[in-house]
Amino acid sequence: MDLKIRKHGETYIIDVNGEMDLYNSYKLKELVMKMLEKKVERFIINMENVDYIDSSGIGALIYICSTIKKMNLRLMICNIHGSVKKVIELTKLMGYFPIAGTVEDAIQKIATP
Amino acid sequence: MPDFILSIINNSFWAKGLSALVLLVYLRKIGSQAEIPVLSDFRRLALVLLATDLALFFLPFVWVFPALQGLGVLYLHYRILGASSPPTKVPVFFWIAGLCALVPGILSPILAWPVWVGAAGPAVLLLLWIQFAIRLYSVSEFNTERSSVIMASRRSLVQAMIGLQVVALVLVPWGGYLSPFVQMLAFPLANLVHSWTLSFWERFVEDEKNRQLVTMEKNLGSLFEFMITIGNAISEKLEMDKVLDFVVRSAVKAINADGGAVFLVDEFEDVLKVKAVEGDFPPPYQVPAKVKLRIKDLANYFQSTPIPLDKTIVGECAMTHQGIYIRDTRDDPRMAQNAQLDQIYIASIILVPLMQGKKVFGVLAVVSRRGNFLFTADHFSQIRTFADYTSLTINSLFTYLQLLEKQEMEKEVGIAAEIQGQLLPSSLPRVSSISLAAFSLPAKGVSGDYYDIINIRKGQILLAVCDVAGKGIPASLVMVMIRTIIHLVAHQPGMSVSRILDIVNWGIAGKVSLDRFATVALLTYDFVNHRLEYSNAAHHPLLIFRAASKTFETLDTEGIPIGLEKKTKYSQLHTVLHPADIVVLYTDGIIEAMNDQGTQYSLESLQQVILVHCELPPEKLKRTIIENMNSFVGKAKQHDDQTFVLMKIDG
Repeated sequence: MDLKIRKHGETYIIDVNGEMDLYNSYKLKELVMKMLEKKVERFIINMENVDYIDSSGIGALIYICSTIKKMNLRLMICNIHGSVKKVIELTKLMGYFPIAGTVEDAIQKIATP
Repeated sequence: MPDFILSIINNSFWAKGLSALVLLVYLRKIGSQAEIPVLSDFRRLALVLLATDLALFFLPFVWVFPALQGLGVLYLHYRILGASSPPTKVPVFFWIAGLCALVPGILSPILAWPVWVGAAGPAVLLLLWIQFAIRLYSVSEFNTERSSVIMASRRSLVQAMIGLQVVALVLVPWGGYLSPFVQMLAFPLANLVHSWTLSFWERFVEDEKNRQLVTMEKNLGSLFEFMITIGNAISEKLEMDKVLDFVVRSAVKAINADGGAVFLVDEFEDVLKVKAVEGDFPPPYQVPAKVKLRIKDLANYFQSTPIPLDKTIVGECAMTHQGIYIRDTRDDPRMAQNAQLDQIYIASIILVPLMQGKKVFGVLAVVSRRGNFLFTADHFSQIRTFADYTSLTINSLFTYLQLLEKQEMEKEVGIAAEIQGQLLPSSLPRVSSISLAAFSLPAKGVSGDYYDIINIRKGQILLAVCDVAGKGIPASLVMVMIRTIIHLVAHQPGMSVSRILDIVNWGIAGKVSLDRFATVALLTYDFVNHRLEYSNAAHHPLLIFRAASKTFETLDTEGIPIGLEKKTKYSQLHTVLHPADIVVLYTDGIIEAMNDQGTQYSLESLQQVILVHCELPPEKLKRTIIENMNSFVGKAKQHDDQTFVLMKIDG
């Protein structure tokens, strides 16, 4: 898995590339925690290039999501598709995660609280 | 004695022979080093002298030859000077004056010109040499590359050559260049000065070679030392900061710089941050006026101010992935501020990017603050080698750390597998009116799956299937917690499956790291009224095979996984089972088992096997399912744990 960060105004978009599994999901968690330390307030996690996620990946997303919620900051997860979407549906987390369609949708949603 | 022989003796045969011999030895000496431009010009010089001697030997009375020689010698000295200081061109008047000297020389044997016309050669050459002497004496160490050798040899050269012309001029009434005194003494003596000058050059070339060799050896030595030490540093302490400290210290030491620094790229802020500083390293950019220019304040400011990637020379180095070498900051507008202010004075600077793969992760910079010590291209290439090797080392450091982490994880998984082995029921309870079978296969040593079958009270049984996210000890501990809570509360009177899930969730949420969530499905079955109650926390729905109609039903309830939110409430559904009905609880690993083509086993395949073999007792049905699944996946390696529990109502 490979993580790239880009910026759109005050919003930081994390592009996740590759599989999110037991052996690398912690990287995303660590990155977000580091960004929180740096007082980043708006996050978008772009899952466009993630075709596989296992329960550790879901775990990482839950962790990130709940931490950000607790701090009253904003998060959007976008471009979930295929088996990733199936796993999130199966674990009944579609309502738990703040989900948006595309990056553009996410940017729009995140800007309007 | 024949006139011919006399004329030879009169024509200074011996002096000529001697000087020719000297020249031949001289030629031979340079012969081996002709590839060096300056030395090949000295070789040409010797050829000019020899050619003149030869020409005069056969045509002793033509004074154009000495004049020609004089011009040739001067021309070659212009070239020798030009090799060290680029603007030295042979001036145009040289050619014009030369022509003036040569024309009377060529014509004098034909036309009977007065004797004083012979003064044209020495006079013109005297003027030309004076001009050249002025040029030679303007050489200083600041404007000329190899000034030392030119300055050491110029005095004798100028004296000898000017002296020769003066003597020839004075002796014009006795034949000028052709007078026996000039031919026998002045020319051979004056020409010795070329050998003399050459000896300076030879020594200089030799020294230069040795200097290069020494520098190269020193460079190699320091690099070698660097490699060994950094290797040791890594094997002792796997700390990035220590490695960077060491890198900057070595770089500063290796090229005798005044200060050095490593900047690291901060990925999500697009800035560079100062990571390690050695010696005296002033900020190589404009410092706001409000920063008091005291060394301490300046250092604080420098350490605490991130540099945007699109600003300053450091940012430029990181953005372009190119090393930057500024020999003299006065020549570069990017460093104007550092060339002027004493507090942040930098005389010379080198910046090189540190790469991880194709990505720049930092910049290594070294400065000289001494105006009389400017970095050379050699220093630049040495720092580049340092940076390359540092990048390489840090790459392997990262890889090694990852490997260690993975090993650690695998070790943990081994311990967890042991804990887990004791969690699953060692034998299934034997009860009348139902038959049970269970299967659980971990994918990699340890399972994230857990199932349980508990006799909660007479006539009632509880089945649980659970899938904990992640592996290793933390996941196993969550499993232990879930199991403990279920075992503790399941027996309580008035307990229902949804209530058990509420309590399990309440007990787990907030206690464990949020990424250790679990999906759990629970069911109870009452043998007396044949009632099945089911509650689901985000697990796969329950599969029920109805024997009477040979159809499948699924049972599912809402609810997010266990462990996310403390206040989650779970709901439950119930149904009545009939003889020969089969209930199946399973985890992802079963229906998502994949073959080589990437096709999943699927719920449909599972249902199909159960439908065909519904008459079998659960234990045999279990084996049939496993066989069917295995023949589907073939040799493909499974990444997820596989667990299922079968319960069949006896009929």
